[in-house]
Amino acid sequence: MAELAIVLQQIVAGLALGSIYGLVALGYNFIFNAVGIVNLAQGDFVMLGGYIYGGTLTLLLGLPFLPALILTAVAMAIFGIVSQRIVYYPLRDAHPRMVMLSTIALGIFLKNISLIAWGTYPVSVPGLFGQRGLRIAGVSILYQYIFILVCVIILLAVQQFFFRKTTLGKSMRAVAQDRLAAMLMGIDAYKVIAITFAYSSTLAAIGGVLLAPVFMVSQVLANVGLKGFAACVIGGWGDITGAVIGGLVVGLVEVFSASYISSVYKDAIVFAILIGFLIFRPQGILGRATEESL
Amino acid sequence: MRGSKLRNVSLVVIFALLACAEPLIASRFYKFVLALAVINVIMVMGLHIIFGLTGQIFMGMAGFWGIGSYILALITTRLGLGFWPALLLSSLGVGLMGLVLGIPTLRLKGYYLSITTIGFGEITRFILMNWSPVTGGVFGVFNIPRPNFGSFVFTNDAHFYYFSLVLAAILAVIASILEDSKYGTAFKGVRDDELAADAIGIDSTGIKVMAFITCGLFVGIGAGLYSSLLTYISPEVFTLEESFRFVTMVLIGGIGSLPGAIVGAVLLTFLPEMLRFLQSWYLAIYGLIVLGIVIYQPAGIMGALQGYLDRRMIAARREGKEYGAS
Repeated sequence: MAELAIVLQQIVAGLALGSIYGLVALGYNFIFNAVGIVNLAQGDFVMLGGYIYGGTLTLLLGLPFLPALILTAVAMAIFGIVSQRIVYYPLRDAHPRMVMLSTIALGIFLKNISLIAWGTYPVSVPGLFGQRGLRIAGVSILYQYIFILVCVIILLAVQQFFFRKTTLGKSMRAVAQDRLAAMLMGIDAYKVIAITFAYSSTLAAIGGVLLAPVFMVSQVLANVGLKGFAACVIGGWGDITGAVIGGLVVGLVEVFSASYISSVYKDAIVFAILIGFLIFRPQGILGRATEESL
Repeated sequence: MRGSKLRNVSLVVIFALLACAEPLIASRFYKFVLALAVINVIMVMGLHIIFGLTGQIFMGMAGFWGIGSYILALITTRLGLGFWPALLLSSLGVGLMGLVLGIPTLRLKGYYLSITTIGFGEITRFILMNWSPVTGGVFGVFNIPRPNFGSFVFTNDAHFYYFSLVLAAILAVIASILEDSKYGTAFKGVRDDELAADAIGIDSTGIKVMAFITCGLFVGIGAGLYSSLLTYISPEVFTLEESFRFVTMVLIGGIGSLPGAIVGAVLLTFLPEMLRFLQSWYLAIYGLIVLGIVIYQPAGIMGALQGYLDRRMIAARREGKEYGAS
């Protein structure tokens, strides 16, 4: 019974972490679908979101959760637009390899500028619930985990509505499907691409805000980017549902391998599974995207 | 001056400058940095083959470097073998890693390859750090011997430097010959247009695996020399940042140019030391510099040099024509 309770706790923790990885994976996918490049600074965007929310808005300015969340999202959306202007737009006709290098360079810059701005010590953010949790029948589940799951579900529902019903959402999908055709239909593709970057950065920022109370905010938070990438591969590239499922898988694998195999090697195990997928099932679980698309 | 001629002349000039630099540097510390630079030159030649020539962004250099360093360190200290067999084994060992890593990942393109190799580098670091019974864990490995010829041991840092420089020069010649061979052409074909390369009958997967193995052979030699120069290694050196530093070396010099990669390696070994006074700002500025190069000078230093020479040649021709007309 006690064993079952622990497993249940871990499943919730894994799903909560995994849903964040799913958000990061969505960020990769939107940019990839729109411009065919992978923003390798995505993890650093998560870290930056966490720092802006935790380090500046919460601890320094003492803002309550909701205004802090909204301000972080807005700041990161603007940052997304600015950064695509620097790392993507000048290189839009160059080989995707160059964009990849420029996003890696941006990531290095962000990691180190945040060290200067927020210091080398990890920033600890209490969050809405601190370490309090739900206790039922020996099972103890942190409120933060439940909160993360609820937030992500709401976000996904809003996103679904946005892409299906709004003009902007439809034009984003059109640009992702065929940029040239979308431009011929009168869509300002570069504006839409800028908005796509803004949205991806916002997703990363929300990930950072929700993760901040779970992990402390430090450079290590940027590793979430690699987990998100693993989620993309495991779920299948270019696929919205796949990204979320892949994220959940990565989260569960991480939590269970930390407690049953080795907490030191948990990241290595995630990578090993990623490599396994690349070898045996490069199209991912859902298997819609083809290998050739990369 | 075109292509391989510019390369050969540049290589001769670079190695001559490196040979002259040692006595001119007074500080013992900078002499040591110079030796490190030559070791990085050897390793970056490996990356030049996989990234510069074949166009694959390999982000696991630290993994290769770490494995090579530990192979030499463990073989000499634990098994008691001499420096030479150990250096050979570290080269072959990392070459074998290239094969092991290459076969599954090289069917994949672009981002998959980069992320997988990031994963490879990180897993390697975890293992070096945590597999204590073999690797010594966080304490690393001590008392790694210096190279020797019979009873003559390169304990003197200047001797070690020239020894490494000669090895680097030999490897540069090998890399140049490889670049001019049909394999070099195939490497570049895969880089410039993989689909077209496949279409004219180049086995692009096989070529990529071969580039990976060659990269491993080169890096293994550099990594072995690294352990031997320091005589002590610890696992926390072999980070993702280091992997990216190697990629940046190739980028700064000019992707696809061997002398460029070498200049990049020397620059990026000295730059962090010379910019120490910037302290924590250094890496942030470094990120910005790399970003600037990617955007404004993607052809790197050698690309700029080539462009300058081309413009001068065109100007000279134009002048000649005008004189001819008058």
